[in-house]
Amino acid sequence: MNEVIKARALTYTYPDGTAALQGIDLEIRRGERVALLGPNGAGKSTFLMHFNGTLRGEGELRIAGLEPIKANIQAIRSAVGLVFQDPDDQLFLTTVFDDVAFGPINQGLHQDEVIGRVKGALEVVDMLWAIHKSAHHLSFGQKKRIALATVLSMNPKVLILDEPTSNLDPRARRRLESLLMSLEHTMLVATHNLDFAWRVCDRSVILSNGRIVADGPTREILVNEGLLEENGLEMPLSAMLEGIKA
Amino acid sequence: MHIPDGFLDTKTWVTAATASGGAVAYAVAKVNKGLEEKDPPLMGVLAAFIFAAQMLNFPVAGGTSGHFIGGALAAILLGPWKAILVMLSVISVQALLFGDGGITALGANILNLAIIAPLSAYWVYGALRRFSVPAGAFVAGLISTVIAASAAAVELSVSGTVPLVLSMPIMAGWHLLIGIGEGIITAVTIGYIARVRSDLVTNTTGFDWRSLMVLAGVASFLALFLSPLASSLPDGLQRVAYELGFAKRGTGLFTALIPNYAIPGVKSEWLAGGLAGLVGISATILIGYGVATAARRRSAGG
Amino acid sequence: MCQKCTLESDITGATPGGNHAPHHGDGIHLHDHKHGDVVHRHVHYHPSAPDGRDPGDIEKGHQHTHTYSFEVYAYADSLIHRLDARTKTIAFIALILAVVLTPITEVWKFGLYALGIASLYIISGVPPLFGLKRSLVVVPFVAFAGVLLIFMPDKPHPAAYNFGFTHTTIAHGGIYMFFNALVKSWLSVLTAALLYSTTPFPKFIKGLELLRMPKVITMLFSFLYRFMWVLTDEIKRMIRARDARAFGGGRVWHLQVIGQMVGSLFIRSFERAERVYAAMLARGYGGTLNTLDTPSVTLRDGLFSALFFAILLTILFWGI
Repeated sequence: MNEVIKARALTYTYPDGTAALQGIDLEIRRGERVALLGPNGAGKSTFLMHFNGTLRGEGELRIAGLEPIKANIQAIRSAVGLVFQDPDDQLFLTTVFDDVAFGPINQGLHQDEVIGRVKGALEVVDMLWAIHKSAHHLSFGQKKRIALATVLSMNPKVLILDEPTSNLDPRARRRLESLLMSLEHTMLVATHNLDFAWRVCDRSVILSNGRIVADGPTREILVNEGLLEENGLEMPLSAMLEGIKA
Repeated sequence: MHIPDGFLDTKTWVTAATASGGAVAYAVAKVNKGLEEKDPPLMGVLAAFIFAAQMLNFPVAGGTSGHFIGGALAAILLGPWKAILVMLSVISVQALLFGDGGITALGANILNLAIIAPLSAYWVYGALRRFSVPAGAFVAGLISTVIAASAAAVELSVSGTVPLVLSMPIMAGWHLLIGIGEGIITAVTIGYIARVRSDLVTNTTGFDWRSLMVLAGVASFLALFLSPLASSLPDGLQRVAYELGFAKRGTGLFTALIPNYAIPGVKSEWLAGGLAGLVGISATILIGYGVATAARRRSAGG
Repeated sequence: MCQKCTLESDITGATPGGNHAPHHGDGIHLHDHKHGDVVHRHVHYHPSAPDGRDPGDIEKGHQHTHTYSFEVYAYADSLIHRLDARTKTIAFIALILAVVLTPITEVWKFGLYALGIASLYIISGVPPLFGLKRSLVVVPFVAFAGVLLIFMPDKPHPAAYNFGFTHTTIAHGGIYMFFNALVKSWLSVLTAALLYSTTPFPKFIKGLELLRMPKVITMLFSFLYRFMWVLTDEIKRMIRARDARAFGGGRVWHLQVIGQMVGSLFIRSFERAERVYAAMLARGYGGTLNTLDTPSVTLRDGLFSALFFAILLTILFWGI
């Protein structure tokens, strides 16, 4: 079982009749860092919502080998670390400690284990100094890193990140980038920031109108101007610069 | 309208706290009974919404301004019981974190702004919405503001701090103006939400008559416990005499409850007041537990 | 690097409003500056190695936090700050109760209360001036009562009032009532300010939870504390956007615009609640906000309570 995520002919139709996903085939193997690209409304968020049991579509889906049925929901939520776009949604408790501890406590871990996990996760994102702070004391970039810590503390098998770089200033973005590069987790990253995808992800998937229209190494996909143009994307500056250098 | 400490005398704040305690315990039991997983975050974020919306000032008269209160809006959008808890948390946090309203007066402030205001708004809106939703929302906003202010005026005068002949017209008159603003804002807000997310306002289920019962219960509790004292102590001047031990005609609940009261002398009267406070607090806790247990038993039984 | 700084007491020695307060030696200093309600606190950690300083380390050492002015002292450190939230809550509420229950005629007791409150301010390192500023919230109410009472038509009363402490006869009960309200509300709000200036609200909520406050209410407190600034910032952005578009018009128009702002804030809040709920589910939420209970009642709490209540009850019951 090498695939952390495996989808076969996954479709999802909203109650109002909008067909958001129209047959997704995707396999993500352990250790891969995959960028999920595509214009707004392509179905990225709908797809991501399948990984914590919020939405359930037709077709086959395996998350860490588990079928998303009710009995498996808690195990899946344990295996998947879902980081939301706005850290103010992700951090809902009054202190950083409580927020990072929330997942491990719900996993039923012992108190000492929880404290160890919290400190470990905050150490990784370099926010241990803020352990007793409240989210409203922190900057956006700091909150973003703590949002990541709230799922790292659950020891997930896969990290799913929704627009991790949005609203970050360049320095905070660089920090987050190098932080993500240092992690060994399997990652699926939905992003509009193609430079970020270019630097962080080895594989890219383009989603358009609920279908996967391209899937391959980032260094091939993000230089295919025709493909990018067709899907409302543009070649990242980093790719261009490297092209000039070469 | 947040009454600070020191403006209410012992009998008033203890009585108000007891009444609030009972009503809140009932609301907690009602909310817990039908509590869904998504309710705590929803109610919590909406409490923050009320807190933030109170930042909105509007001019009232003569260069002064009032601010949006939100009790009626909370009652219309969330129903009476959740509205009580949401308003309660806003009022408590304002008292505990900003010193806005006293600690001993917290029960009275909760009674006025988190119980009487939402319940009366809910009742008015429930009675009028079949004729017109905006009119119902407007009148709910207006009436709830005026009633809450009047309740504060009564509490202040019963305490002997401000005579009712002065406090009532001033508080009620002033809040009539603020209430018009509150009413218009509430009506426009409900209209706006109905246009943009009609699912959030139209799904209100049938009218909960128990809201009226709780309101009536609170009112009769106050009348029963405060009126004997109030009638014997019409204003601040007489309260002075009373506290200093010259007036021996204080009667009412605490006189009956506390035998020490009969012992002559200023200081034992004070002691009686303190004991009365203790008795009141214990009564609050007992009534709270009683109501909660009764509600739990009823929900478990059927 | 300073051990104390990495954890709870990383703003020890904070001097809000001050500049570059030196703090445990040369390596670390912090300074604050204020924008409206928000105090920006910069804590700098400078590695002690004088040369070959890694720029990354300096970035890491620069920790920028925001503290809202009402709780600017709550995260500081002192004997009082280190007490358990329950100890402080019970003690300070008892103090407020004592103030409210003491008859105004026993003026000297209020002097002792004021003295006690002042010493608590000094022990906790919260500047009394801060408390005095925060206590101004009672002014509107005191003014309201004062106007009504002092300018009330003088009503002759059958009995004269003998204030035990001065043995003077005062014929005006309004002044007496006014002082009663003024002194009690003022001392109480000073005490309340002391409570929220020495106890971070999250610890206070946890204390209430341990004191058996219904869970649904502590959950609301918790969400309210977390999201009140998030939504206040949203409403402030909306107010700015409104004012930027030359907001004017009549009174009713004004109220209609506010109504639409409230409506739009409600929908945003509702949608935020839905996203928060999704985020909670993703981390295994099952109906309760689970946190680790960290009761920390120590010998210190016992000693403080014993001393505090001994003094308080002595003042309260003296001469009875």
